[in-house]
Amino acid sequence: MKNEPQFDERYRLSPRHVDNPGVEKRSRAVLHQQQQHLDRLRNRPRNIAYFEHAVRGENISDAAPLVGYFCNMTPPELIRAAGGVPVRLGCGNAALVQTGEEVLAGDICPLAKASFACVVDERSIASRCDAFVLPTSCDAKTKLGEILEDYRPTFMIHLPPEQNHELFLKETVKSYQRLEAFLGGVTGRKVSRKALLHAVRQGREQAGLVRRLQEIRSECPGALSVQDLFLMIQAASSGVDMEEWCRECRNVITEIEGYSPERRRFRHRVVLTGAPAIWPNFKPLSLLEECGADVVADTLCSGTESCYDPVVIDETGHKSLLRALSLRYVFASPCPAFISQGKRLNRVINLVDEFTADAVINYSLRLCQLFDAETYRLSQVLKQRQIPFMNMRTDYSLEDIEQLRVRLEAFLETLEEI
Amino acid sequence: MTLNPENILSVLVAPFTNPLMVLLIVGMIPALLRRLPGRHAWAVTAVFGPPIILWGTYHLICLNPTAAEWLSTLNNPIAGAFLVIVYPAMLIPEGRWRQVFLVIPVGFVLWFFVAIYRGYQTVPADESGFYWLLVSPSWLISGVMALLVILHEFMDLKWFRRTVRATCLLVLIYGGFALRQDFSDYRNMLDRRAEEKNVMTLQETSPVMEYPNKMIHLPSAPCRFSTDGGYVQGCNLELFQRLLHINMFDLGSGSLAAMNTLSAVLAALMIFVAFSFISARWCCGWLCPLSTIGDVLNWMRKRLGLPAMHPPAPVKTGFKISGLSLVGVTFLMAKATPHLGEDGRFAGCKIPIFPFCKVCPGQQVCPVAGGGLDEYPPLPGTEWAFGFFRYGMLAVLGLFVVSFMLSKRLWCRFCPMGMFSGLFNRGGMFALQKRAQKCDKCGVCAEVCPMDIETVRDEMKHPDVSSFDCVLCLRCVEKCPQTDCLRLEHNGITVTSSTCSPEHLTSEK
Repeated sequence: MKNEPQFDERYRLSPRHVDNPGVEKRSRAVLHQQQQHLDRLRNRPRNIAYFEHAVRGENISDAAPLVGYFCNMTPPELIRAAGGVPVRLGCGNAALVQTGEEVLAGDICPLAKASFACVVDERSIASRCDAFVLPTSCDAKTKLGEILEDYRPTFMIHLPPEQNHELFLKETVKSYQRLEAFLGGVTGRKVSRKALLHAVRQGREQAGLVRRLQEIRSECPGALSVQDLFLMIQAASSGVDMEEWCRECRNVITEIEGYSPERRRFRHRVVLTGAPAIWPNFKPLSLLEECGADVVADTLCSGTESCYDPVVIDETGHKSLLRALSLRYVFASPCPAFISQGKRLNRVINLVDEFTADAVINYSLRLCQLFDAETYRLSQVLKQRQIPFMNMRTDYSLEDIEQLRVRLEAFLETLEEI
Repeated sequence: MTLNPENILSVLVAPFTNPLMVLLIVGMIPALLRRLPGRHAWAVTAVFGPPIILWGTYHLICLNPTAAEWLSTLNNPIAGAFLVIVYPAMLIPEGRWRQVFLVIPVGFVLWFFVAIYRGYQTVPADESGFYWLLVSPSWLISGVMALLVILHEFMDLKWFRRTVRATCLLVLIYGGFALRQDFSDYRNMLDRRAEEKNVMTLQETSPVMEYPNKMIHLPSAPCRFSTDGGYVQGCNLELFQRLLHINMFDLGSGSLAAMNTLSAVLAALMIFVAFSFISARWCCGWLCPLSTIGDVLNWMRKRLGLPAMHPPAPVKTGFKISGLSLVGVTFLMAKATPHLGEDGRFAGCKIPIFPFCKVCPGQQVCPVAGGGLDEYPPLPGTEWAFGFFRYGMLAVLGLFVVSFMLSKRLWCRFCPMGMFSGLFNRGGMFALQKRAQKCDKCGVCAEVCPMDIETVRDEMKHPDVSSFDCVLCLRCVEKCPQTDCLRLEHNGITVTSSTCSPEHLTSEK
């Protein structure tokens, strides 16, 4: 396929690097603080250090080219099949937001700003990537592509606005084919059917392991903290060898399978939905746990949503596999990037049912209009079904933790009356 | 009546081999199950209660000789085996009771082998040798059903479907050759094979079920034209053509032969409608030998990694119309058959017996699959129907192969046999159900569907997602990534539901 350039070459700018010792120091402090939060957790799996190292980008193999990507709509399977190592670009460091502001507009979401700051920072994993892949999932991502193009070759995946199979499935498959061609240019290897099939099978194995983790956690949430679960899931997309990750994950499963709680657990079970909580921004997760709630399920794209559902293999032809990938990653996605939020509502209601949750918490990231705009319908629909609901509107900054804690504690107390 | 053990057995069992009784019992059980409060009390009352009542009624009706005769023409072993082996297997949930129940199919399988042993006892000592399986049709049917029920315990949906299809292919295509009642029957079959046949006037080819005046037809295509092949009489269209072949003037003048044919055909039709109501288009997805052969072609395409063709909606409608209009034309010809002149012509045209079968690929594919290329039916001459079908038939055969190679079940979209059973897809006993709350609308169901049905994906309001085209192959249930989202119900009882367990996902590699 002929790969037309997506951006105008004539107006490319030279890459700009930022060196701000203050921000750097503060970002290290944020990481340290988050690490302390994790260290305070009880019942951590013995091999959790592997995932901690991985999420900080210390387990990356230098052999293969790194491909940084945003969002669940980019199938990591494709990157693996092309011989690249997928690295998720999302960053949750509160301190880095400031760096991002220097190039991006001020009113762009903190996720985009912090992630961009990672690209600019020469010591981060993101800056070691050989290419970037972004879907047009929101305004910030749509415009970030051209800015990232100044640094590395970047590819934008065109997403349909509506999840209509008849109209847009072929179109999505076509944009995945373009992505394949782009990745082939980066890694110098064509995506073969066999490699793709292997990668998809690996993804299915990962989905199976995450499902098993969730099964155990649903039965006794004390077995594995949600923060550790997120850590494990995000470690998988930070450039580790998938087989090694699966091995370590199996070890965790065998370990927590043997966990037996000392006494009955009376903590409230909640479903978390909304914007992604990305390392090191585990603020909503740690807050919920500290206030006495167990996050038994979530629809966060940085959490179980990213790998809970498997890609379904039926036909094993190249194009059929691409169709299967687009069904899983675009057409089943509950992301607010699409015009109907029915999928997320449906999923949240189902998770409450399936995981016998007591309440739903919506993590609405400030400056993310898409999630903000969905909050109204979410709250109304849950109200109709008499499911307790709380909206947690905050950004990366750590200043509002105590206010949130008060609100959360009050909300959880109201649950007890029911 | 002499009271020998076999007679007592047949008297006891007779009501349960009657499809109408089966329908009544099957219809009553779920209603009773719903009324029972406890979960433990149901086994005795629900399973044994209605059959005992119906059994008594049946024998009371049989006191009338005319009613007894009519009822006995309806009896057939498939109904009995379904009621005793298959339906309880669908009904009883996993657990202790299921293990208790499995004793019954195991018993049938053992008896199946005993029956084969007894079949070999009929072989004279000087001619002993290998004569495939000498077993009577009733024991074969119950034995095979019992074997499948047992195998189902150890298999996932995909492999179970493959096993059922392979077994049905063997029984329906090779059954007439390899599965005879006893040694003399086997000899007769070999003698018949040696005879030269004329495809234009061929009357009876598959007399396996040698019960007088009794026929069994399945709502799919176990073709009657494979030499001693079809273990059943044929497909539903063959049955309709038989009905059309009856000369109405003979009936009017009170001809006994015509009356006998009519009563046999009507009995077969009644059995067939009862089966269709119970199984809907399930036979298309699991039994039909034509689609099994086609799926082998499809499997080859899949292995080659070629993409499947998805015909757009107008083309699909076109397929349906062309299939139905073929039925219309050939049925008119069948209607003309009883009025053929001395020279075998009607209005100057030479018309064969069973005209629809002459354009059906079943008549070309099944005999060849059963007996090799020698069995390929001779082409009807150019004198027939303006010479079109001499080459038209080859074109249809080519279309059959190509349509299965290009796409999944492209052929089944213009198969009129299946369309008839499709009428029972909604309102029959099978229903495909979806819990919209679990559904992400990912579209995997539409992607894997061999008939390109989109109802299952798009329907978000009503739980019933059955549709006319559905062949109940259950690929959507098998592949659905959400546990308990899709399920198949038979008469309100869940037979199988979609599962996506971690064990399954992690053990793939």
